[in-house]
Amino acid sequence: MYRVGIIGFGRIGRRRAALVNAHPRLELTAVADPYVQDAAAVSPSCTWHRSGADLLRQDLHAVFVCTPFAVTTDLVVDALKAGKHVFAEKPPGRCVADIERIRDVEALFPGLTVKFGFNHREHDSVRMSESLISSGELGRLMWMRGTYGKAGGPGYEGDWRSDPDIAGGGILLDQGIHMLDLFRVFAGEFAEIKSFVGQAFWKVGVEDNAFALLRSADGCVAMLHSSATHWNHTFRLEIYLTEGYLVLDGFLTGSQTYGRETLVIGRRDWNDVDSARGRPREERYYFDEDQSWEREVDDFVRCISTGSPVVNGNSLDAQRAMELVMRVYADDGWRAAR
Amino acid sequence: MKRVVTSGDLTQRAMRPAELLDAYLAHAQADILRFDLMLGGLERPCPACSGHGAPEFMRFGFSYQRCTACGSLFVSPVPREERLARYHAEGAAERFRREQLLPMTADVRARHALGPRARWVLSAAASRLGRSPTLAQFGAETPPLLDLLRASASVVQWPADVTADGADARVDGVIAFDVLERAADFSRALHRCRRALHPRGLLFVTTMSGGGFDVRMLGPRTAALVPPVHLQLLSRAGWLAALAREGATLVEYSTPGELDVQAVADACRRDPGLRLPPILDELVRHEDEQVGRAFQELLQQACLSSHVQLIAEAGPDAPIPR
Repeated sequence: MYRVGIIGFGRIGRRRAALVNAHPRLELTAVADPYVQDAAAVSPSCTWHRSGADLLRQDLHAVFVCTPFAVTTDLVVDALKAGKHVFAEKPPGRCVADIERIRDVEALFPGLTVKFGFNHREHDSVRMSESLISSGELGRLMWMRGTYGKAGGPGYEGDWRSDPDIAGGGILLDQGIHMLDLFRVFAGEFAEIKSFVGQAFWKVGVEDNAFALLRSADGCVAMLHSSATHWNHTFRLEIYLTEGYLVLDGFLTGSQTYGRETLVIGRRDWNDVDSARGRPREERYYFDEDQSWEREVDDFVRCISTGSPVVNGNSLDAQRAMELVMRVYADDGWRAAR
Repeated sequence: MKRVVTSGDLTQRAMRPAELLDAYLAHAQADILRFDLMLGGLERPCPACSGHGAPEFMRFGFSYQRCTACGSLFVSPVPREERLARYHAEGAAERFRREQLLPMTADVRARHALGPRARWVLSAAASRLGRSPTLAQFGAETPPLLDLLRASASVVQWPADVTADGADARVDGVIAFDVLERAADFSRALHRCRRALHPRGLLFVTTMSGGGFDVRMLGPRTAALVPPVHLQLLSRAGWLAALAREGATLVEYSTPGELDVQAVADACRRDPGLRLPPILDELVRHEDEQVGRAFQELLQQACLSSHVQLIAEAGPDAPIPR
């Protein structure tokens, strides 16, 4: 049984707590949050701390860092120095230097596991797409077009995610980073980036829309639109290969506002008359459950117990995703108003 | 749990040409009499859950019952195995199907049935069974399907009759396409499939649904329903019960059939005496064919089309076959 602490007990921290409580090999032992005092209600045997530093002095095997981005880096570093395995939510800080600092410290403690919460990789539509692409049956990857957007909504301007000092960036760093991470999963690294980043609606210090074109060394082009003015919440990723295509549309999330998670599989078939007209036969898979969070935690526990390296969401993944975010900002000369 | 919905240009006319289907059904009715299939038939409870059956309709002299517990549709009394074996081996209907119906529809079947099924199996096998799984197929040998599967997996052909001898090895995946519905002893057939699987192995099934739109609207007028072939059409609840009895778990259940709405519309056109609820009649015979397609997709989304494809996973402790 691994004793676990959670630092940051907001919406995500509470969701992690439920997962820890449900896991047969984890015991939620401590929670740290300066503003929350109902940790005992979540787990009666839990110790409540006002700060992450206090929690890290407790005898724990692992910690989940579920805090605003401004404090993520320091807490991950301190947790490693305290000998704890670490699971941290994305993004891994507010800039590339933050994740580089984490990786420097991680290298000093090779026996400790560090994993970041890029849970989109663990969704069924993504896993099935990955399997189809890697099988080669749909040919070579040519291009991708990804839209990930939400509405912002009431309270958005006052949310810490819109505060440049705390968040470090806007919708791209908070949500678009997931789409960039998926681009990497499917296409590998990108050599070139062009972008437009800015504010279309919200009067906050961070971007509310980011458009980017990325090209990999072997010619795959990926187009991203990350938006906080997408009044209808949208997740859509189109992936076109030489022999067919995949469309991931809708996503099962905690908010349940991105629609049903589906994956369309279509194939180029020029022997068929209708296909020649551009309406090929399609198969649309519907996925009814989001097990991505459970899979992440399972994988974290497996890595701790076996000492095996993290494959999905390791610190290099986090660094590369963060680098992409910063390159999108840099190409358009965008700077958050810090 | 995931499920699949398909959309495309498949037509009833292409897959089941009326003149061929009529000839096949005429042969089937003659064979039923020739082999006296109802002689000595055995009364039985629901083959899926052992529930009580209530009479639903008669077709070609066979009584179809609806299970009051799980909703599966099944023939009872069920013909004796030896008579069924003669029907399949010596009958004119099966010969006509093999020599006329299937060859005449081979192209459309390859594009709309065999290809998608092969890709479905290989995709699920790749994600759940790892690389180079061993697969075995029960049922009639279908070289085009085997060719597609063998491009990525090791596949052996087992007997057409699931309960026959000659399938004693254990494999990672068992393919039972359109075979379990015709087994006179369904429980034994399903057990045979599960027994052939390694722990966590996968059973791939395609079959007709007892809860599908086609058969529920048309009952005895369902053109695709051939009693000696369709002895049990399980509902989703029926599959859950039958698989649970074998310690297996349903991991995927879809009804990607594309022809229910067309089949019902055709039946209405051919039989003016057939009366559907007015709004359904309007939907299936709507002048805008996109309405029919949309309705068919809705049926698929709700798992209410008549063609089922499912994957079941064997439990971790499947015993070694005796």
